[in-house]
Amino acid sequence: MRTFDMMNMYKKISIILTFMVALASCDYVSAPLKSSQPINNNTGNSNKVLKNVLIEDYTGSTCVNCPSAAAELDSLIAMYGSRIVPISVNAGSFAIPVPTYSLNLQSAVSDAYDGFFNMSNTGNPCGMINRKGTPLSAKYLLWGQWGAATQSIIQNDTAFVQLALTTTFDTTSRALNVSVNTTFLSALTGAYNLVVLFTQDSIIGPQKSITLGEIVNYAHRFVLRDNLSAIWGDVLASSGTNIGQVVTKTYSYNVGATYPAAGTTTNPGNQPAIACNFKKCSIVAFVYNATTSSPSQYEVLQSATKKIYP
Amino acid sequence: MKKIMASLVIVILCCTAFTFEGGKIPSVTIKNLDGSKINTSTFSNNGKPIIISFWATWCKPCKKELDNIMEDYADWQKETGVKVIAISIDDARTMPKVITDVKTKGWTYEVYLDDNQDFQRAMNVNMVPHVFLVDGKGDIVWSHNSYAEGDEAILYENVKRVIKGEKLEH
Amino acid sequence: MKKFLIGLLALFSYSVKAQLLKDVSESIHGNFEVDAQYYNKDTAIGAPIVPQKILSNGFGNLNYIRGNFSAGLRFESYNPVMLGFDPRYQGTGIPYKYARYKNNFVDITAGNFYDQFGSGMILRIYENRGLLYDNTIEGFRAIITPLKGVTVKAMIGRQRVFFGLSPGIVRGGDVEWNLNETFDSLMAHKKTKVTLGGSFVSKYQTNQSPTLNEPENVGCFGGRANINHGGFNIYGEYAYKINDPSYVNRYNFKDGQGAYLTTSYAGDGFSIMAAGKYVDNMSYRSDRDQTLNAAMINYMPALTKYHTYLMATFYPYATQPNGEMAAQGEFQYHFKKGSAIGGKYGMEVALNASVAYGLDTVNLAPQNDARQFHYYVRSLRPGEKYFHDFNIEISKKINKKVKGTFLYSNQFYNKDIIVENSSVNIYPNIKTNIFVLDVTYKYKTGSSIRFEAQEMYTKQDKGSWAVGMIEWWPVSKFFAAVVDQWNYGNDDPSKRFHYYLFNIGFIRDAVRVTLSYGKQRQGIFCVGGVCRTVPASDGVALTVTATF
Repeated sequence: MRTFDMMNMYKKISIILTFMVALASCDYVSAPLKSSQPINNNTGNSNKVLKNVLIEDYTGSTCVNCPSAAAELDSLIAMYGSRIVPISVNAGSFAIPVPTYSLNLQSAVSDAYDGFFNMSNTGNPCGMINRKGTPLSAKYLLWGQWGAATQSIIQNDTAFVQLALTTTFDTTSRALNVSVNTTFLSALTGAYNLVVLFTQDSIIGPQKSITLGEIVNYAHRFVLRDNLSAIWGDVLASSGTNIGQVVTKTYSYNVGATYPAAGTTTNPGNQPAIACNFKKCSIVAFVYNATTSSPSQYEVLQSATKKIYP
Repeated sequence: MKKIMASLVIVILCCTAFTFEGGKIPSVTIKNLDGSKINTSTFSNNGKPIIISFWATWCKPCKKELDNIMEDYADWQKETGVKVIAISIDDARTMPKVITDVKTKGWTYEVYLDDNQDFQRAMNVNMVPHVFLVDGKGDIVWSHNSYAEGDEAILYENVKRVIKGEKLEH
Repeated sequence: MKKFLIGLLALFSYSVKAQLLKDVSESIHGNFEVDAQYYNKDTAIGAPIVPQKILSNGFGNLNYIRGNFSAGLRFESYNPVMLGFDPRYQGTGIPYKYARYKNNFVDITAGNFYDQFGSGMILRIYENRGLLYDNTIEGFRAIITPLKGVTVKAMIGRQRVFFGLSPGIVRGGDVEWNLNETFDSLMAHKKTKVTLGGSFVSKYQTNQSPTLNEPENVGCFGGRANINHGGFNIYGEYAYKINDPSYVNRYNFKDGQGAYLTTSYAGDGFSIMAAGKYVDNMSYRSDRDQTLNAAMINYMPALTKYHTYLMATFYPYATQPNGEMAAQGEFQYHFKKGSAIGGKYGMEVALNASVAYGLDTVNLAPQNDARQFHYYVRSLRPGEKYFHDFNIEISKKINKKVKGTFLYSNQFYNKDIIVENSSVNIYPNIKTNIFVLDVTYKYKTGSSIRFEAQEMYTKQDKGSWAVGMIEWWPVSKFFAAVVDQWNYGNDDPSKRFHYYLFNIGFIRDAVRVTLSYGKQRQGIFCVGGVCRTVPASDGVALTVTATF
């Protein structure tokens, strides 16, 4: 019976060990929500240039989980205010208009970004935060990852670029003139491009939802409609920058009465175009690293947004 | 298309150079149907050959092969003393079906569970069915992937040649 | 393309080397598989344009064994990954490498390993190369046998996520005790065999959320028992998980639990099996913000029949980790040779039934949910119906040359839940009746022809389908097959497509080469809060696999 005794002892020890490990490695949380966040929007020095965060939400009207991602974007804007520069990119199979969900929110520039960064191919909803992450596939983030990525940039990243947007808009001719002043605050190596985009906020229409089924009057926010610059941007610097270097780019654009603009959509169906209320439209500009084969290629250094009609 | 054809040719050239070249059965712990453990390096058949067949309850050709061998198994054993060991790679989803399938079909093989696919990995099995032939000295001398009706006859030819000490060509 | 050819040549040269090493009782073995497809443009069925034209997946395994020591690696290459797989598999790498020493007392692995505790409800580290599923842990593992019949496992490491590692650390321990082996003198010859087990797993991931106090250490523990007596077997397992907010459970802080019980009796020529399962909030990943196939620690298989015929798997069920109860029963009977029904060659009949329901839950309003549980389970009664499959399969050998299988299956599929994880009614439930006839005609030794006729009747979704297949094996080394899937019942007559596929294959010992040409239909799949379209495709595909 000696084995039996040994067995008992062995059992006791292993039970005690198991409990010790169990206690040591479980975190029970009784208060799940963090108390309100201190936001270091401006840390005393009002001259300091802050780095904004470009959040791209890749979405579609028939993507049932996408309203959760849009809600997360709204709550990040509520938390960090003007530090967030939002865009929603409607692209991929869940953005193709179908009966009931017939809004056509697609655009050529949306399709290009979605395809290149493999967003809807990997799965919607998803997004990128400042297009950060190496390799390319690491840029793909689910909405649950947006908060941490955004906070990390706001707390830790330094702004190397300052952006200033000025716009004039004629409400009768719908002519829009945009001037973007880019100031490089340090000497950087590599190439940098400027992208200027046109977005339309709060387009009301149906959206499929996992919890509510069809939401008839859903506000599709920050919808990417068109590009003013080239899709992959216009060159600001092709081989390095100097401290204080300023580059000014100007764009003339005619705001369409309806979108999608003719010739910019890949949608095969003949869905009705959506009227464009210029009071809801904005310009989004961002500077990104365009250095070929740099580990931070495509990463956004600075972004800004401005309503075209205040 | 050109690229595909070129790679096809290269791949086939490479494949013909690959031959299964022996070695002992690797040492891996797998389970008996009653839950006890066994080490695969202890597989033996008193100097007679062993057939190791990887299968799964959801694999139709595997079961066809083992059914067809079963029809002649008594004769095979009488003539050559060969033993069949059937290794199920079923995971938790279908593992309870291994014992019911074996008993219902009346298979008299030694059957083991490799539900963590350790033995499958150690034997480099890509897909089932896959059979290995082990000679009396415990060396793996032949293996075959997939099953076509009548393959069991080729397998048995190889068993007889192994007993005669002939080298199997590939 | 170039890269994988170089990979092939590298493997080839290893095999040559292996032959040289043979005489010093060492061995090198391995296997490889290469899949490549050329994609045609086909807008009718919705196939997208593939700019690269050719996509390919490939891998090669290499194992070196010398006595108790072994080491190995796997090279993988996606240039780029084929349609239908996660596009984050990109490029080339060696995500699996290990060194291992094993004797009768200890088994130690440094590097990557696969393992499983019990049925896998707490931890299952495995790979399925066909699905590109691989959650291997990179770290250390020790398996010790301190006493006869007792196995103790301990492991620590981080899981593979594509070509990188998960941000979370996984720590796990497991004890399995086979009573019969330990108490040799008392129980060795008893017919009753008892195995007990217990495990504990904990994962660590930093809390970076700006809004939630996410737990950094999340533990999960459980116990299990298996009792075997002759043809009778019973297995039970229970697992409990503490608060684990994650993307999949929508960041709820509720605890989770799972239970699984299966029992069977097999006599001479017949068997009966029954199983039940209860799952509540059991998604467990080493990265709480991941979904789809990435960083999963545990495994919860569906309790349904594993069909292999195309139409019977058209609407497949998968366990809903956020909450499910399911049951399955099966009865098999083998009519003996020479009996009245069995005839000259015998006959097998299998009856199988499986059902799955949701849990009876009540959602909590946000103002009443300070602890962020999101819901509670009101009772143990079944909730919404998710799935059922009632089927019968009959196999009979008619004479020396002809064999046949007949399958009938009646299935119920809750598309809202299974495809979109939504409790809102968007789609009608899909009800199908499936008939399959599979006949093999062996016209001479080593030569056979197999026919399959399948029909799936349904009024919902894309309507009814029919499948015809002929597979010809003129010799046992070569086959040719034609399959046509026809969506003849589609409500939209312009979408009543034929999806045909031609297939030829060549097998030589452990080498298999297949070439196919044809079309694949589109599918959508949603797992854990993310949906992805698997696009339709049209093209030529080549697969080569070899074991050496």
